[in-house]
Amino acid sequence: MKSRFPAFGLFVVLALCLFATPAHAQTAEGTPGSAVSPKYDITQEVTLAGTVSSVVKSTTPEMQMLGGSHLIVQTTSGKIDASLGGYAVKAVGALSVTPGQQVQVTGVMKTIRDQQVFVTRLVQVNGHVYKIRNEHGFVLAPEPRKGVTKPEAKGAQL
Amino acid sequence: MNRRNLLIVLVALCALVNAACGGNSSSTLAIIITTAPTSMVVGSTANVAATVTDDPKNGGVTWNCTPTPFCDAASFNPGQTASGANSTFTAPSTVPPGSAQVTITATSVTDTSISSNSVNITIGVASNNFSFYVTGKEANDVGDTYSIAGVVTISADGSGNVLGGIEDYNDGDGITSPQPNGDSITGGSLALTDDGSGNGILTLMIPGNTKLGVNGVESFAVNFPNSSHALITQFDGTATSSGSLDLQTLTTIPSSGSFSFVASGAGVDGEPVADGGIFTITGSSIAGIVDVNDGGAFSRNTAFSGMLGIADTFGRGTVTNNSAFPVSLNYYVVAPEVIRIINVDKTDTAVGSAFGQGSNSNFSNDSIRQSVFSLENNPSGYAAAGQFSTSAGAAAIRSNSNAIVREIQPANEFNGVGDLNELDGAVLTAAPITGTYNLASNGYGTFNFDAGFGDVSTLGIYAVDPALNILDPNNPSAGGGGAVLAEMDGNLVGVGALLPQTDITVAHFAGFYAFGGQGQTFAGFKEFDFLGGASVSEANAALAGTGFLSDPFATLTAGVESQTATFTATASPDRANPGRYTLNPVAVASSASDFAPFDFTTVTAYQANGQQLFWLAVDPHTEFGGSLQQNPASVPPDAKKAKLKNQKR
Repeated sequence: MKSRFPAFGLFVVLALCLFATPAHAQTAEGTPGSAVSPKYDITQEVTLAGTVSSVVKSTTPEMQMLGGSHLIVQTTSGKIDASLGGYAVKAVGALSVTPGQQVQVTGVMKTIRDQQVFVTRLVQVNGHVYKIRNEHGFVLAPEPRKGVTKPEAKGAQL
Repeated sequence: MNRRNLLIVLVALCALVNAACGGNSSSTLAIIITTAPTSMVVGSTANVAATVTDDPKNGGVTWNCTPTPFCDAASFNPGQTASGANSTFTAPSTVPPGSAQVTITATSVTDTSISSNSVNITIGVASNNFSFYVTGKEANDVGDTYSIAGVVTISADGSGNVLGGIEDYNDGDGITSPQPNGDSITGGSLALTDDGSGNGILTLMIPGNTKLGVNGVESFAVNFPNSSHALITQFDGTATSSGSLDLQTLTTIPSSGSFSFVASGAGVDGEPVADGGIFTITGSSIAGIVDVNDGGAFSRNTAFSGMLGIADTFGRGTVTNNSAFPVSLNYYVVAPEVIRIINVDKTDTAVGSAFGQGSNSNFSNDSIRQSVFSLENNPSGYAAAGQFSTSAGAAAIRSNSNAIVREIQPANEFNGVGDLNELDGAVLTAAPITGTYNLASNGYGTFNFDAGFGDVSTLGIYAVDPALNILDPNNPSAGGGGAVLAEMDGNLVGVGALLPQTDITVAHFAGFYAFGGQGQTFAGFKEFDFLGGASVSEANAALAGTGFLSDPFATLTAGVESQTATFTATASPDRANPGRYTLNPVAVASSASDFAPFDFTTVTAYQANGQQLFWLAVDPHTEFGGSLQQNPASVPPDAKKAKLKNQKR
């Protein structure tokens, strides 16, 4: 996973610090012995291909669907509800999909509120790949964010 | 000697005598005002004095002041003084126009043609500085996470006039206050309702940055449980957020001390971020260790160092560091052990707090005993709260007719009960929580949860001064100690607090409270915030409150900013878990029919003491997290700062 600079300061001086002595010998990532399973288990990811049946840009309480946007995709195994989170189809540079288009979605199928939801991390359409969530399942803002010049910044075509 | 020569001699003698008697001394008489203030608050008093030299009659001076009618000779008592003697000057009752100055002079009594130098005195109003911070979401298509930290000067004359201030605003997506100066607050007002609820609206005028608020005017809803602390929510429709407003009692950065901190916000890609750690200040240097959770990618125990810039008159300064990454941080001193910190990078945002660890910090597992905790994160939409005991002091004593049986847990375990609402995951009420923890002497530690409390796995602990009230730093009567928390696992990103649970007496959850909450709904993950003042009846635990609902995303209502929200509920003690209450439902309505009534159907509260509770909504489709903080004046007479027998102080 690409190292991403954290938001808050972070007085981080990874290799340059000369002053502090670590208080605990913990690994940089991962807490040893965690008894809790990953919320988004990237090892369980699958990629499904299909035709977009409908696009739900924003759910309402009556829909009883996970908040945010959804693609209803007809696959060979049936219809899936691909959750795109709160930002995917909004703002400049966001994902643009219409019914009838062929898409590939990568994510993890989960049961949320007694419903099967495909928690989507990537959407590929028209030869472009849109990153919806990061590898831990957190929704990412659409691109481009003002002031961000990194080419790998979120939401851009990969 | 002939007559003519005698006349000459007499004239010369007279001249000599005249000179010796000072007949011509008025030409060398001088007056200097030696004592006078340079500034005064309206209506206040101060001593003035003048030294007179070469005054043959030692007549002293008379005093005068201009411009009239703001001041005159009558402003002095006494109006005439001897050389070097004090007179009491009373400042005008209003600020003079223009330069806001008055001018005093002292005039010789012996020779009224001779006056002193003029001294100008600037006249102002008494005021207080309040430090504030909020975090929330902007009401745009993207719903950017944003942060604000600042200081506002409010007149203390009862007018509520905002006299000035400064703030840093950052959404990491195009709206960041100019650096290094920040955005100047040039005016505004604090208007409190006259119903005694503590509710009010704080308006800040920032004409230099029309991107903020509505064309440079920000409005915040506030509720003051006491005169030095308020809950605060942005309330102008451009954004919604929650935070704290606190009387600033210090404007210089401490030159030494150890601190624990947490902060939260959003990263470069909009992912939620939480940080926590500890640091020590030595002069202008800062060094410590930091944990970072960047959208589930976390790193712990990373050493850092930096330099603290000198604070300005608002207690605002900069933090520079030696990192290879350009991160911009500003700080705002609130009190000797409280500092707000804000990231002012243009590509990411976060805000948080640093709290002192005390003068003799030497923490251990034993420092954490029976406690309540809260966790939440707005961008990712979850809230949790609970209570637990630890092996350090929570001995369960059972007695029967013949013996006292005591159960002692292993050295570093905790167990208790918690409620959790992950909008896209577990929704748990009164769920058992267990796990292990460790806390080092420097106040840095970890909670490891056993499976069963949803996706909550690992929390960083950063312990604070046992005497410090982290919810209300200027109110030491309402508890103290505990820790700040940051989620350090790949599942959730959030921050929170841990408070010692010292008083679970049901009757002590009574009186007047400030309350607030920040949350989201399942349908949309859009934020709402609310706050207000409520009374809780000692007789039947009935809660009745009035306040504000900020819902610019139309997630609970049609999209209103309501000042007429009412909140009603009954707090039912959980007999199986003393200290826990259910408030099912909390009914929300508008006395002005601003919105259709609705319920938070399942709400739980955990009591740290009678003055401080954490609460959260555990509805299937709505979550919020927040607190209830009591007005100290309404503490029930018998509610002392009780301690459970196993609570270490």
